[in-house]
Amino acid sequence: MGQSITQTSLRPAGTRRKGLVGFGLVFAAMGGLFLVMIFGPMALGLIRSRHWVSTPCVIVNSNVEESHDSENGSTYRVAVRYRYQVDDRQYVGDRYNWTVGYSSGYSSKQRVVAALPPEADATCFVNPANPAESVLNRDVGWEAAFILLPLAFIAFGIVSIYAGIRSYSPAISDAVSPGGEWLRRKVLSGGQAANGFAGVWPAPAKDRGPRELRSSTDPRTQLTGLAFAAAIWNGIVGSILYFGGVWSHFSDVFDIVGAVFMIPFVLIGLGLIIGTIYSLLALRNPRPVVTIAKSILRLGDSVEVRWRVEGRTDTISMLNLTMEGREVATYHSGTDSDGRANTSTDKHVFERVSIAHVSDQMEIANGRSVLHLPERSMPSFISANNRVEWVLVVHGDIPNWPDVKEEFTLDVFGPEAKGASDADGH
Amino acid sequence: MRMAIELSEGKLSYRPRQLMRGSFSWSSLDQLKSLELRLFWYTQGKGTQDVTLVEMRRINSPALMGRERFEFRVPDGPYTMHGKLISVLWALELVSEGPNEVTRVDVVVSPWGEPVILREELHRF
Repeated sequence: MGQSITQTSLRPAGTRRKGLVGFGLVFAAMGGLFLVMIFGPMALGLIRSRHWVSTPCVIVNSNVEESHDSENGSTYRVAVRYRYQVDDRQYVGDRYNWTVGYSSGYSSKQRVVAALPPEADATCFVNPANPAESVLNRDVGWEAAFILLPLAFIAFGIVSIYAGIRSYSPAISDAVSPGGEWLRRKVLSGGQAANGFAGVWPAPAKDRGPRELRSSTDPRTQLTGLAFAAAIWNGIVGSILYFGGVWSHFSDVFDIVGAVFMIPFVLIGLGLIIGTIYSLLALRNPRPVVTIAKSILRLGDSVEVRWRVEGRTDTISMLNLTMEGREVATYHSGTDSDGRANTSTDKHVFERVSIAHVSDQMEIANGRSVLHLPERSMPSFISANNRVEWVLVVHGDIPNWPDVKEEFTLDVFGPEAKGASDADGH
Repeated sequence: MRMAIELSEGKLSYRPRQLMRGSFSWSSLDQLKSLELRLFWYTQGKGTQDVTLVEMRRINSPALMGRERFEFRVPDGPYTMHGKLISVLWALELVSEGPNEVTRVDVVVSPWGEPVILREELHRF
């Protein structure tokens, strides 16, 4: 019987997470499609009719037209016919405004129809280039406020794409266990076969010397993002509340159940406003810059750490620099209403090494200390759902003001392994 | 069906970059489609499990019984560890296809010869 023997080595590989980008693209595309299909004709009509000529007209008839389907129940539109004259020629128009389709709220439309009885005099707006084209009401209806909804979709999509591009995670490759019983069983029971982990092994061959750490997050970007999110979110919620409230006396849409339903949305909006204010206050905070004497950190190393604080250092009463070792586990936590898996992340600090704890103003502004990394611990480790990370935390305490808090994740390698020649199993 | 993995000198703990040597043996009444010896690590604990195959040796259509030597170079990491949320574990596994059977040996990869234990929060000054 012939037999062949193969030996395979599988090595780490990493890739950018594309899920967020794809998710963002879908969201933005949906928002864009919704915007173009629903609000496109409305916006186009509003723009085109800005310079149309106001012309006396007479209402022929008007009524509230109903549409009914099992999903949305009854929806309505104002159906109107009016006649007008241009250059001795009679025309009949039937466009009340630029709103597309039917919407809820019978009472409001009934009021419009009541104000347009047959033979009543009115004013319509006629396209001078094509007098057969006209509109009775070229004002923006309150429905236009719902333009915020597709805009929110687009904004959320853009934020997701941005977050996806910025985030980096190790690859979850195809299953690497052809026919493998144990691995196959694990994969089928919820484990993930990951061909590799992010490049924390081995350490680079050469130390590149001192390394400066400064926050890559611009506080203005954070503030802008939060303010944008707060504006969009509160715009939508505010519109729904405002229009629901204003129209409640002739519409059944907004009732006490609706009000209770809106409470969590209002609270989220308030949270976003508070976050925006907090970010605004933190905008004036001083910013720390930390320099580590070596670019390659290993367990057991003692490394000089220097820092300087840029900005109003006198506001900081106490500055702490700490190195934290953390376990970070990501796991599935049920499914959402659409059946998609939710994930949660837990963190646990297993090691906290104090680097500096200073209250002297000169030292806060500019100082140095030594970081002693523990000899026996876990180096940085990243896999698809689990990681061990080492984070340098800078915390400046500012009384009665948002504190300074910056975190820098650093790769910490294991002790230098012996060469292959003297490290065999004998 | 009998399968076994034997490590040289019964060694179950390896340092990074060390050579892992041993042999695996099998005997079967039925013709096997294949045999695979794998060195891999996996996570256990709160996080969704990750598994990574590091080295593999495959024999297609093996004889009904036999013994083969193997030699794997242990990579730089990750180290075997036990934390509060995560454990990282290493194992060697011999898998047959034909009748499907598995046998495995747990090993430790660590520069200190024993797993890293991440204790509750430590404070060092």
